[in-house]
Amino acid sequence: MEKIIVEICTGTACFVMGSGKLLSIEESLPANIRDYVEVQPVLCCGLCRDWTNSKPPVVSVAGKMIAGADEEKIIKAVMAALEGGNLC
Amino acid sequence: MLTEKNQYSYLRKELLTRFFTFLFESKNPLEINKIPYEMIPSGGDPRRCCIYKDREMIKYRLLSLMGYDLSESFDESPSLYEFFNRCGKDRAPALPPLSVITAACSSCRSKQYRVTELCRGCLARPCQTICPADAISMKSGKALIDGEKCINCGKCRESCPYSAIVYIPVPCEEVCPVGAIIKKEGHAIEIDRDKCISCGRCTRSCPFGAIVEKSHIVPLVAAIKQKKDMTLMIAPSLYDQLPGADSQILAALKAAGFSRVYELQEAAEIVAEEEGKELLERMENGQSFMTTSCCPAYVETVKKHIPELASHVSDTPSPMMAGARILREKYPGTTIVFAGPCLAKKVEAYEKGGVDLVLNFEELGTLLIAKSVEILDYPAAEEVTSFALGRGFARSGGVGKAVKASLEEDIHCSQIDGLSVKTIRLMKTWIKKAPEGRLVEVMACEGGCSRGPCSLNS
Ligand code: FES
Repeated sequence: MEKIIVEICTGTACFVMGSGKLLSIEESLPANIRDYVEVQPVLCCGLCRDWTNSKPPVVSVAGKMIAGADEEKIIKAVMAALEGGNLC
Repeated sequence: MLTEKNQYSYLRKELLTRFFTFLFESKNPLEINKIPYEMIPSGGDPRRCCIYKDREMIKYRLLSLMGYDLSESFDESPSLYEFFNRCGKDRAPALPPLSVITAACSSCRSKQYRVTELCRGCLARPCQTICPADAISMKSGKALIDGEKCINCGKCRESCPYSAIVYIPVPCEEVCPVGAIIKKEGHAIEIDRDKCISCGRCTRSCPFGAIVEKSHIVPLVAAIKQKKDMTLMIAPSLYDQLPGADSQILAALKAAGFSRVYELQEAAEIVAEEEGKELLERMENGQSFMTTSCCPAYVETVKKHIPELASHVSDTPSPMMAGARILREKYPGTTIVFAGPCLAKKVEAYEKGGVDLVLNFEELGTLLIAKSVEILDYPAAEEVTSFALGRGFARSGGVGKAVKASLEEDIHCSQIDGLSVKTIRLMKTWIKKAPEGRLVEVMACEGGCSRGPCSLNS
């Protein structure tokens, strides 16, 4: 089964604003979804420059961008992606 | 302290980024008046009573970033622009480094134990039986604590089988190791300057962000913009705070506006060696023990709370001061900037001189953001870890280890990992009964500098 890819930006802005701590998010995922998720660090995509519309840290879950990302938002998006694909 | 993942920590960094961006890029100084509105846009969820107060609090935070002391009453009516025009731009603001935004302080109730509605008024009533102050009575079938009689021992809470009794602390007071928070019921807190050791814990514990530190970033940006020769000294705890390899981090920091970046681990090793020699000398002279001196919050603690210990504190300068001396000799006219996770370094730098400006890691990180410096764009050189012992200064145990390594004979070394009411009480007994260990490493922050209050990703 295909995994849900969670891309976490490790550019300067995102890292300083909190993505540094999101890199270990796998550990805090609920056990039942952990196996379906793959975390990948990515480089700055430039979105962080626009504080009005896309606050850092920027994370994308299965291709969907989340600005001002935190653990909660990521887990929600992962759940939504899993349900959308009827995986669980 | 609050965990690092919290919205106040985000707000601090966002505000710093916006302020840095204003300082570097704005052609129109009036634009500073817009920052509170950009941070707290109309229609958003207020954090306090309303967005207008939220914006006002942003204004106060900016004043503190400009170096103003907010604890004293002052004329608040001028605009941010006027305050900015008037603030000092060529040197670090005077001590003390902390002040309280009275209007942001929630004037918490004094710390107390309280019985919640979970109380079932049981038959056994262990709370009432165990209370040494006879403070618990029963009212309408539930336990009630008489605040006048209660001595805050907490025994009732431990004894309740329903976990029906809670402890409600005053967060800043709770973490202050030296009792420097003056808490009067119904009033905003004040900081007792005679007791405060500038450890900075209260600033990271207040859920309302009411205790703020004066920043040195206005004079920093002014110096960078004047193209002055700037030397950045970085504390060894920096490396795991930012992404990328060490070489990338160093190149990126330089690109942010510094003529050179000096890693303090080298100076740290020189300090360790000096401290080793000093220790042997003191032992020869019959002294029973010596403590380290690189933690400025500890040095302040001795000065203000355990003066009888002063003769046991090492006279060797801290790595920051030793590094500044080396750099001043090499580059006489340079502006020396220290960056670390520590608030008390501001006090040390101000009192001892030699270091012009002090930044914390939040300020350093957001400086990189504002200057659009992409750390990972710089080439990563092969990692050669030099001065490993000096780098160890960042973690508790590391200083003692480095001093030990510089000595031939095996010397017993002990440590105080984190100042607290308890450890300070212990240190007060050392005059009568020498501590275990000839060398005692003392760190104000538990875990060492890398867990300091102003770190990014500890
Ligand atoms: S640093 Fe993440 S988008 Fe730029």
